[in-house]
Amino acid sequence: MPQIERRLGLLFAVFVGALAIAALKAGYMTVIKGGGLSAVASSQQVTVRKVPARRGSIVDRQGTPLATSEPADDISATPYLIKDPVKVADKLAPILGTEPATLARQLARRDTGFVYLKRQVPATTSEKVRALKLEGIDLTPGHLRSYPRGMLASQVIGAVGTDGNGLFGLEYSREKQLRGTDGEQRLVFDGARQAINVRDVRPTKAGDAVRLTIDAEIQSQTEQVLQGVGETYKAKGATAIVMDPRDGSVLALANWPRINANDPGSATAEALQDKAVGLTYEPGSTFKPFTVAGALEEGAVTPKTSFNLPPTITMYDRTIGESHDRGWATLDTAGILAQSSNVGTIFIGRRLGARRFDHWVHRFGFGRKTGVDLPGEEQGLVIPYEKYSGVSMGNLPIGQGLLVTPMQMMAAYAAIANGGVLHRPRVVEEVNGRRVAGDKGTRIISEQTAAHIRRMLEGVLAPGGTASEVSIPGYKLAGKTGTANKIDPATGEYSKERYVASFVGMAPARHPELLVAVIVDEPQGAIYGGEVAAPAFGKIAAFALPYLRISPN
Amino acid sequence: MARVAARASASAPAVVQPDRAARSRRAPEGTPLIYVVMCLLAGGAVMVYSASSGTTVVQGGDGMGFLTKYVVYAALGFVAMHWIARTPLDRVLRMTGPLLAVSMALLFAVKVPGLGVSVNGAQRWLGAGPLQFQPSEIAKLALVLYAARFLAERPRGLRTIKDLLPLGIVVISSVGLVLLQPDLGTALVIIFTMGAMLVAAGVPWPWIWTLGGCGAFLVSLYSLSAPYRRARLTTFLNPWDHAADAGFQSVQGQIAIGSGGVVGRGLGQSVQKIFYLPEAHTDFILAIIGEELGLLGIFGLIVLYGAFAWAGLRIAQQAKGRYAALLAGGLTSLVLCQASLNLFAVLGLAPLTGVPLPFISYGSTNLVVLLAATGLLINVARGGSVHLRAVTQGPDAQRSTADADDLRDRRRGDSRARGAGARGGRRAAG
Repeated sequence: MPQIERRLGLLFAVFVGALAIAALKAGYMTVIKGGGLSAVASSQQVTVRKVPARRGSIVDRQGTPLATSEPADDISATPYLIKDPVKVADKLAPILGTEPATLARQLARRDTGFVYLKRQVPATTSEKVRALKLEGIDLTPGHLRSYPRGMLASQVIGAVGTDGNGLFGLEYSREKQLRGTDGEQRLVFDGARQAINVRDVRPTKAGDAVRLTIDAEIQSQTEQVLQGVGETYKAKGATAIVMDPRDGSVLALANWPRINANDPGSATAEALQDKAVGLTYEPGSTFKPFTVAGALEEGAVTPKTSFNLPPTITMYDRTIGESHDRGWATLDTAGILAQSSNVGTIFIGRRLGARRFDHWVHRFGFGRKTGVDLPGEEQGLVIPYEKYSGVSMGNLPIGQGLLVTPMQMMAAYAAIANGGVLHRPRVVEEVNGRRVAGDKGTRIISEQTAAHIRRMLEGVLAPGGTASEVSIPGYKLAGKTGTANKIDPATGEYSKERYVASFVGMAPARHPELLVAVIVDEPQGAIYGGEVAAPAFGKIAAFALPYLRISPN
Repeated sequence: MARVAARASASAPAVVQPDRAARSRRAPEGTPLIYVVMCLLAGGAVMVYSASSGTTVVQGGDGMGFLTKYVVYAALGFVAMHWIARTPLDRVLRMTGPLLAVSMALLFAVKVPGLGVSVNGAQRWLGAGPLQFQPSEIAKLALVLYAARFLAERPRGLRTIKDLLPLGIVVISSVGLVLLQPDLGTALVIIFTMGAMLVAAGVPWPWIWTLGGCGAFLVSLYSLSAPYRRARLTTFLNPWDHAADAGFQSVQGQIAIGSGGVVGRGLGQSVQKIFYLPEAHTDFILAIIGEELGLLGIFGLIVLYGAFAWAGLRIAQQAKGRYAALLAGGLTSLVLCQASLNLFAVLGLAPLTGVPLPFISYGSTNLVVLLAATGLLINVARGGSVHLRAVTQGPDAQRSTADADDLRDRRRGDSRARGAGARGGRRAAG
């Protein structure tokens, strides 16, 4: 049957032709259009999601949490996906605690494809939003930073912004370690938007925990005491540092006024400053021990060296007297320090000589940053020897004409307290369980000189000293008061109203294990360090000494 | 036996002959066709499982559900195939009339409220539960059987196009009923298959063009008659403009095939099958094959259909007698038309009509009917024939049918009109 065979052959040709066309189209779709279609497939199937790393916590030296992160979500909306803004708003409002009307207005916006409804909603709350499964409402996972102790050490710890970046304090300076590494997840969704495959493209690495040398209890006590001082004297600001002088570990670092780390936005820029490292002031009398230490170390004087002192001393155009007028007096080196004699200290400075004095100022670490691991540290201002004027040696030995920070004073005093070794102060004890090595320290004066100075400083709190009212039963204390005029920015002259009252004290005096500085900026009513700052030292030390189980001997 | 040898020598090399003759008494597994169908079924089982399990498991069901049903229906189809392959063709011929009547009745029943089951807005099903079936699938087979008988009975009786009227009436009424369901896909498969059979039967080309023109006109009219069908047409022209609604399935199918690339994502790795692509395990299973097995998988499938066409039409060419040849050609065309329509629709070469991929897609009635058709093809391959001429050709019946066909055909090659006139006239009288 040739014809039927021919016709069947023709049918075969037609079918093969049709199949060939199909094969060609399939080839075209997979080879030529394959890339584009794959891209479309990915865009509807695959989402690459950032998995935010949990920020490392900050704890005190006992492990008490000071800053922690908990899972939280940013809740956002894609307004054009929301059919009924009012209904959605009614559902969300009670969960988010927002006015339904406000929410509805946000949801009804047509000028944007993205609007945050509420950020950093704790997971327990956001879970309720997730459960509603509302179209157009998205949850972006993140963390909420919270500060369980609220205002405690806020300026030290700092705070993070809504994007999770450290804004100031340790949160800022330790950002790299605290932040960790955000992970990346590749999710494949099915047509019902359920993830059917989750793959970690980049693993999430949680931030390192940071353990401080700060002790929350001492910090808390210090802050309370400082608040008392600040409020009593209506000061502009105040700062106090508590340190273990043996290695420079900071046990407490308080600033007044306090700020709430959970709401840093409400604080003024001035209040946010960590004055312990950011405040520069003329140290006044608290500087005198360094002049004396230099002179002792150089052998220019001995503790017993006696000076016949006039009531005042005039250098060029300036006459320097004592804080409380007196007649001629004979004082030995120890007496000069105990009574904080300006004239006497200038005499000792003269014996030392300007060039050697300048050497000792730098030797004690003034004029440069201490290197403490806190951000925003100032270096103060020390004029170089070449620029000394005729009156310089009338100012500098008594702590005028140079600017220091409280932390510089603490480091220098710690050297006197620990027997002559200058340490870099430290605030961070451990990062991620690994101890942050402190420095070995630099010996700057002999143990003997340091002991001499401490003995002299005991006199400050002894009867007849400038802080004789302060005592702690059982403990021998040593310290130095300071009352410095501030320079009036308007006139460039020393102000008669603005002072910085300060006190640096240590205990037990013979082998100090505790060093405390209290600096009060512009106290009102009283100005003397012995009156304003020394009692605060007494209160702080009275708490800290037994708390740290430091024995009187 | 001699008859077979003589007939076969005219069309196939003599070397093949003894082999084929011997094989004709053996099991139907002897033909290449059965291997092709087995390959298709194996692939179908794997792909139905792959395409359906993900979704059903996610929905909390049994991932094996569709696979189990596919295997059960395939087994049912095998039984039918085996039985039909061994049934004498004249019994098949006798059953053609009743089968056509029953299928027509069933097509009517589908439209009877309460009897027909509606799925996705179309009333195509009868029965309930696992016994549910699609009468239009049975009608497809019945029509091929009827057309083969009609065209074989009057090879010379078709003097004018009007002689095709009885066949026309049966086909048009069946197609009409199918279109009413509505099921354009099955209707098109029937129309194309009938066209292929007319071509195979040697109907003059002018008639075929005329009928083809009429058919195309009616189908276009039908396609434009309902808004959703018009939408399908516009969607076909640019599915990406309607990716969210009317073009969704088409677009998702193209995404699946495109993202599969040349080698595919790997068996079982399709993402599109989980709630993106509707009908992933039935009409759009090709897209999942493309996504998981890539262009190579699609090529493999196409090669299998090509092999089916080759094997089926070879059976037709070597069939004993005109009826057997037309039957084999018609059944092969049925499978190939359905396959092409599905391939074209999924690949975006034709509008969506909703036709399952033969042997691969999950579709109970279709699978059983196609396996039954395969049984008929095997029957023909084994030498099954009907002595139509024993009744109609009087004295000629003593001679071999094959010889008569050969003689006639040779003569008709020289002078068609005369041959057709003489024989057709005589048989019509008888």
